Amino acid sequence: MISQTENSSFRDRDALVYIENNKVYRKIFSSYKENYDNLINSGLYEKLTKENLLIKHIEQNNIQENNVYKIIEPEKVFISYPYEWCFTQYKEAALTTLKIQQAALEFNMSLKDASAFNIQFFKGKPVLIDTTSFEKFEEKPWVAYKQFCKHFLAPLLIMKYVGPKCSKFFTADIDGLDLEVVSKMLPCHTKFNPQIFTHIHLHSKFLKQYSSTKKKSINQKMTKFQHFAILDGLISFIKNLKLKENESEWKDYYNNTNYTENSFKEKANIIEEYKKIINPEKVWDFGANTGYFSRIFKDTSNEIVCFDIDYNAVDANYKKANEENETNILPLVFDLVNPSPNIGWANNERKTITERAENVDVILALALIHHLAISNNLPFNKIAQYFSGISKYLIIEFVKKEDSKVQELLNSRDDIFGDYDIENFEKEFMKYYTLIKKDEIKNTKRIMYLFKSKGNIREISK
Amino acid sequence: MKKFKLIIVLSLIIFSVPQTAHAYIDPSTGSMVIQILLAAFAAIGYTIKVYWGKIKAFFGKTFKRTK
Repeated sequence: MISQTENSSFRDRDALVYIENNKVYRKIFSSYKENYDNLINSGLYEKLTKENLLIKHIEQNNIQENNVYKIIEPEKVFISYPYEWCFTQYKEAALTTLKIQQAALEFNMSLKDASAFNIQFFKGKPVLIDTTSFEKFEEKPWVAYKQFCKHFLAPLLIMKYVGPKCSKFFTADIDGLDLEVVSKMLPCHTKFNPQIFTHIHLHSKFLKQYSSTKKKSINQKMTKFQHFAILDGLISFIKNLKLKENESEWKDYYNNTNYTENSFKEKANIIEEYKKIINPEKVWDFGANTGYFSRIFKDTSNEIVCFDIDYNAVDANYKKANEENETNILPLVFDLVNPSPNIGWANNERKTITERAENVDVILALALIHHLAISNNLPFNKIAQYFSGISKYLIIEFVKKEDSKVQELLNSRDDIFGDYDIENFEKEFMKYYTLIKKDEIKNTKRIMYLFKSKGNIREISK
Repeated sequence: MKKFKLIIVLSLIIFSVPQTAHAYIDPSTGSMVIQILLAAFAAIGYTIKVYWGKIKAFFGKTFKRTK
C-alpha cells in the first residue's frame, strides 16, 4: 500500500489529505471532532451535497492512530487551478463559495477559509472539496473574508477591468492577489463603485494601516444578520460582473477556417473512426477552441479536458457544456508553450499539467502543429517527446506549409523552417510513436494521424 | 481623516467583547475593521431588501387610506 501525503495539505492542522492506491483520503484529527459531528448532524452536509455544492464522501473504518477521529474518502476530481479558469468558471466558483457560506450560517456554522484551491470542477460544476472547512459560527467578523477578496474578488475584477490574462498573476502568490497591487491596477472609476471601493480600495488601505494593530484589541461583535447582509451584497455584485466581449482571433474560428463543409465533415469522420479503434476513456484536447471536435468523444468517454489559450473560446465552451449538461467535459485555459508552473512551498503544492495526467488515453492536437512549430519555433522532436509522455495515443493533424493558415503565420517573418514538411514530421514523431493510421483530408493541405506512444506514460493502476 | 480613523478604532476598542479564535489563516485586523464598518451600512440595505414586500404593503395601505 503506497501512501503519499498531498503536498499542499499542511496549513490546516485539523485534517490531512493523502493519496493511497490512487484514491484520495482525508484524515480528520480529534481537534475537528466537534465541528465534523456538527457538519453531519446539523444537516448542513446533507443540504450542501444534495445541492451539489460540497463533494460527497464515504467514511472509512480503518482508523489506527489515536489522534485521528475519522478518515473519509471524497469523490475524486480532476484538479484544476483558479489561474486556469475562464471568467465564467471563476465567477461561478466565487458564487459557490458565498452560497456555501450562506448555507453554513443557516446551520450556525461558518467557513474557516475561502481558498480558491478548495473549489474544483466536478461533473461540470464548481464544488467545495475541503470538507473540513467548516467551524462553529461565532459573532465576530468572517475570518475568511480577506482570503475571499484575494482569491476570488480581486482576480475577477482584474480580469474584467484589466484583462482576463491577469488571473495568471495568481501564480506569483500562493495566497491570492495582493489587494494593494490590485487597487493600483484597477481604473480610477472603480473607486466610485461602493462594492469595489470597500472590498478592494479601502480594504487594502486598512490592511496597511492596521498591520501592526493587535487583533485582540479589535473584538467587535458581528451578528449573523450582518454577515448575511455583506454576503448578499457580494453575491449580487459578483452575479452582475461580466467580461466585455472582445473580438479574439478565435471567436469565430470555425467560420474562418480552411475547410469546406465536406472536408470539415470528413475530418470529423476520420476522428470518429480513430475513436472506434482506440475507445478512449480519458481525452485531452490541446487547442480545443470551443470543443467542437472534443465533443465527438462525449458519448463514449468519461473525462474530456479541453485546453485552449483563448479565454473567450474556453468561456464559450464552458457555457455550452452547462447548457447541454455535458458533465464529462471540462474546458480550461492553457498555454501549451508555457503551462501553469509548479508553485508553492518547494514548488510542490500546485502541479503542472503533466503531473496531473493519469491514464490519459488520447491527446487531440488538431490544427495545432503549425502554431507550435512555426509561431513558437518548436522542433517536431520536442513536441513529440512532450506529448508522448502524457497519453497512450495521439490524434494529430499535420498542416502542410502550402496551407494558407501556415502562409499567414509566415507572412511577417523569414521562413527558417526548412525542416517543416511531412517527411521530417513523420521521421521525428516515429521516434516516439508507432503509426497506426494516416488519412489525408480531401481538398485540404492537411493530414490526420493516429499514433501510439512508445514512451513512459503516467499510468496509475486502477 | 486621521481623527476620524482614531475615533473608529477607539470606539471599536470601547465596545469590545472577548472572543475566541482558532483560525488557521490570518484574518488580519484591517479586514475585520472593514467588515465591522461595512456591516452597519450593509444591514440597512439588506433589511430593506428582506422586508421590501412588507414595506410596499405598508405604504400601499397608507396611500389607499389617504385617498
